[in-house]
Amino acid sequence: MQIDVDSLQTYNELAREGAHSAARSLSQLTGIETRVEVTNLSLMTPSDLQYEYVGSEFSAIRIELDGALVGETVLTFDTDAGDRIAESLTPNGNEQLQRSSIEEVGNIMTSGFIDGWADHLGEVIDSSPPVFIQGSGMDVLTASAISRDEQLFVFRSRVESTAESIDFDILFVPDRTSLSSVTRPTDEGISFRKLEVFNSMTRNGAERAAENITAMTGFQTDVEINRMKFVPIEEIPVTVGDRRYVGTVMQFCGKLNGYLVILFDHPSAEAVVDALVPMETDGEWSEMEQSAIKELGNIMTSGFIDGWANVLESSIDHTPPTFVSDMGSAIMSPIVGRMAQTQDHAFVLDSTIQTDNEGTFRCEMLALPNGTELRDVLCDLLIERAEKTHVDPSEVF
Amino acid sequence: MARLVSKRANQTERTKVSIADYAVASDGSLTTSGLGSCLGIVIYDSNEHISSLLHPMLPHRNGDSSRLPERFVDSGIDRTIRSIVDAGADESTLRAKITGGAAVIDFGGDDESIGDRNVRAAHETLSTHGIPIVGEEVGGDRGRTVHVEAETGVVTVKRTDGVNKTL
Repeated sequence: MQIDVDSLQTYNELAREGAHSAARSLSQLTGIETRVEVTNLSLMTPSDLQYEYVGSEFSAIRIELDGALVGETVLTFDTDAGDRIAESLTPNGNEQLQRSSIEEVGNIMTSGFIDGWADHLGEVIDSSPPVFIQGSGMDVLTASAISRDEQLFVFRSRVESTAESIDFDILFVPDRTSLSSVTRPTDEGISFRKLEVFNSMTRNGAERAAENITAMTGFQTDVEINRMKFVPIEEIPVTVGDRRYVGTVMQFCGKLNGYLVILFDHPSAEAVVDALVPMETDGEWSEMEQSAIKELGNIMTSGFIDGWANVLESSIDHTPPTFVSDMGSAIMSPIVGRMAQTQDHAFVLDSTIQTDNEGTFRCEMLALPNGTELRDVLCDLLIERAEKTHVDPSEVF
Repeated sequence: MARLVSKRANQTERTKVSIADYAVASDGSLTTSGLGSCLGIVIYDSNEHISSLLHPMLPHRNGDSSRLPERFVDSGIDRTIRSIVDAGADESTLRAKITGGAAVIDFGGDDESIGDRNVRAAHETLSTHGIPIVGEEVGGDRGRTVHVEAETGVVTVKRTDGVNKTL
């Protein structure tokens, strides 16, 4: 089963257009002005997707699709946003009436989302009646979607209201066989299995990086979320957001060229520096503190990149780390600017490392490989070497 | 992706402009954040009380019509001018203010940074259109957030080192 990477770009654009259409439908129905912040396509395990919704209660409308494209769409609102939308549609309505109105909104929005896909395929996509759900994490997807032993393709759009805090996500999880069947067959196709393997390699690399954090700082860390995103290049800074980060940027070069960005939120960066430089220093991020962050970045990068190199049977070098401290989006801006000179979309391998006690320590690792080279690497990838991410020193020295 | 906030809009309406995006507004405010090497280019007509904000990431489109015009300084300025004039501004009285163009990451080497190239492209393109630059807060190595009052064209720049400037 293969997927054509060029088609991913088309489908990402269809998902984006669909999200705009769904957002317009909501605005027409409720008078609430909305805008689509970001649309991306991720390859991730069901548990990674569910982890993103853990800890927040949401209301959702789930609609199953059949026909030309099989899968499910889930429209998730946080509970307050659901209440606001219901209130604007059925002021003073009882709970049952408000639930029905939300279901109808979900139905209309999903139609808006799906119509562009049906037009593109020139075929009919059937929708099931909307199902209202309330829950968290595990409830996002149906049992049938999460029971399969395979990573999911997840189209996700984040839509925000311009004036009120009514934000929601549109998830579209197509059945992989169905998605593959609507992809035009080309010589450039890459098997799903290879994409899955590369994503798993990245998780293994992030786990090595997490082990290196633990070895250097004593913090017990683990990889919480790992996903391979396919994103329009200008949306990468938005996905990182305006939060302030401290970290390092490195360029990797060899069979695969690109950038590796390691970002700590401020409390995590301070905790790292306290563990590595146990003395008082003057000012914000003194030279000694910057050196500590860079050294940690260096060690994490080696753990991450060496696993790739070992599987690919090719050396991948990296530049010394550059210290950065700024808004996440501003840090990503020059990287994306450089990449945008040759590509319109990018693969972003995105891992979150944190301590078991959520909130104590959190670090984002973003690898942005050159798109053409990644495609070549995936074509050449030998699946049987996928477990070779752990570097055997005797093979290296 | 242009958006015109109509006169009916609430005075507190805030229109967010993403990367490779622009908007035109006649009231409320326009805002963009995460400016690193990208630019925030404000073109406005204070007589007609209408402003625009463009957030391009690279200097030149080089005639490649398959690429999004708002992604580039030169084609983005052309498109923004057309939109603000269509919305009622007088092209002969337009003024511009530019911000951003930082080198947040030191990539080393002697090449001119993308930020510097963006600033140069903005000067060249605005000059070609005969639009004077009346305010500028560019360069350095810090990210910026930009806020524009649509009616007046007054720009507030907040840098991540805590320095705020009004243009």
